[in-house]
Amino acid sequence: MQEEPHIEPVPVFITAGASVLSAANGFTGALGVSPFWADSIIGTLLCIVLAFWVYQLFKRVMSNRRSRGKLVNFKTLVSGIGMSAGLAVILLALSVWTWVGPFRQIRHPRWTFCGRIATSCPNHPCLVLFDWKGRKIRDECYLASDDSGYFDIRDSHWYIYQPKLFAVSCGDKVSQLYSADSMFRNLCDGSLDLR
Amino acid sequence: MVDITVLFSFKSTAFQMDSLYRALHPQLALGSKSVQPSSISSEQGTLHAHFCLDPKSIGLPLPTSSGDIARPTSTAVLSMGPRRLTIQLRPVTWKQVSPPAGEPVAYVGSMSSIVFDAQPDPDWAQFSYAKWARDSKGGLLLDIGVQNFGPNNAGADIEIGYDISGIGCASGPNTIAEVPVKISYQLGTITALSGDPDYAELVERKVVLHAERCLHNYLHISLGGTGALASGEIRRIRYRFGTDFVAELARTLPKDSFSPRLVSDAFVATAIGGRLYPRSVKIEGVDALQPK
Repeated sequence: MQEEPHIEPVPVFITAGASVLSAANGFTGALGVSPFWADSIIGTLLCIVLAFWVYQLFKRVMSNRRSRGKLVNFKTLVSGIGMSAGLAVILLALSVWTWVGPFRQIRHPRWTFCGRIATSCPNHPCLVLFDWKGRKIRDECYLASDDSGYFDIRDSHWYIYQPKLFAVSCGDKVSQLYSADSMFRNLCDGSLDLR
Repeated sequence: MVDITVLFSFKSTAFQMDSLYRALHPQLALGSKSVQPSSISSEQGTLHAHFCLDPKSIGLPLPTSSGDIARPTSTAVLSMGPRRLTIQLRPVTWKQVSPPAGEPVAYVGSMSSIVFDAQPDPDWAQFSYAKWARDSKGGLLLDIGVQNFGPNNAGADIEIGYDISGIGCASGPNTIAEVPVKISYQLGTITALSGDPDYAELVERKVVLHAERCLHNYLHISLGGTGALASGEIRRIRYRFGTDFVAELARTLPKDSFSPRLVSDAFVATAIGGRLYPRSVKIEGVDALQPK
């Protein structure tokens, strides 16, 4: 008689919750948590769930071996542990994707965003900075350092991500996102004309 | 030294003129110090003003090797006529220059150009020129040109005069002759009367003459206002002097406190109050001042 696939409700619930949290990274903004800490919390959660699923997977393989007294064939293994293994792979991918940011930040915590950005905004444009996942690195709009439209923005804490994208805020209008790649030169001679 | 290049241009091509840029007398203020450009040029409607700064004035330590990058944290203020534009100084990269034999190693710092492009067009009046002339009867004239770039402008008061030190003399006691000037030619005394473009009646103006042997000498004669300038108006104001006041001064003041040639060359016209730039222009046509 074939064994019915057995799905434990608790891990599934945790997995679903973690996935929702992971997908909805926007909760960082809503709770005012910086993306670094949000990624670290979600990454830790994902690792716990991943460990749980690996443990479940291991238990199932061992139970199959004990019940049949021999190694199961591939088809039986897939039908028996397919769901657990699939979830484990997905969790591993999510975990890696979530930890990339914190690891990169720990390796290079210091950054200076500098250069000139010419805009058509007549009065005091400011910049909103985003990380590579499109989340605000801080809930702040940075004003130019001088009248030429030169910006010199530095990390205020070691856990503030280096921005990858930025938008120009002019009054109540916010522009599209632009790449910040040219704003990390040593001599701060990057220049973008957005007029 | 640290080289800084500032690029400046107005939004409209009509105002992208070398003469207009130069008339705004660009200068860089660092704290209480003011730095004049070491050179000025115009390329394709953009002013290029080069400044040389002492590294100490911007709080930079001297470099130890070529390629060092220093990051000044100070700001400077660029003055362009009535405009004041703040500048955050950029990182400085040092380059070693080969010193003459026996001299210590020298470094030159440079930073990326500071660009102020498409700046709002001038909204002030330009003090275009001032020039002495003679009419057909030999009367002394002073022509002043103003051009209003902006909206209606209330104009400014015009004053002419000179301010020089030390009319060459080697020795002797100093005497100070500070006299309110009235235009009756008694010893060292003049009176200036003038109308203005809006109202022809002659009004007595303020005149200050200070003729001090060997030392500081100055004369300031107020000529009254330019009158209100309509938007875009170009106006020439002609002041007609009833007498050769320079010759009269030369006649009445002691010779060692007044040199007609020296003061003629030193005459400037100055705008007092209002939005007229540059604030002062040298009065050309000095030959017309020589007595006929």
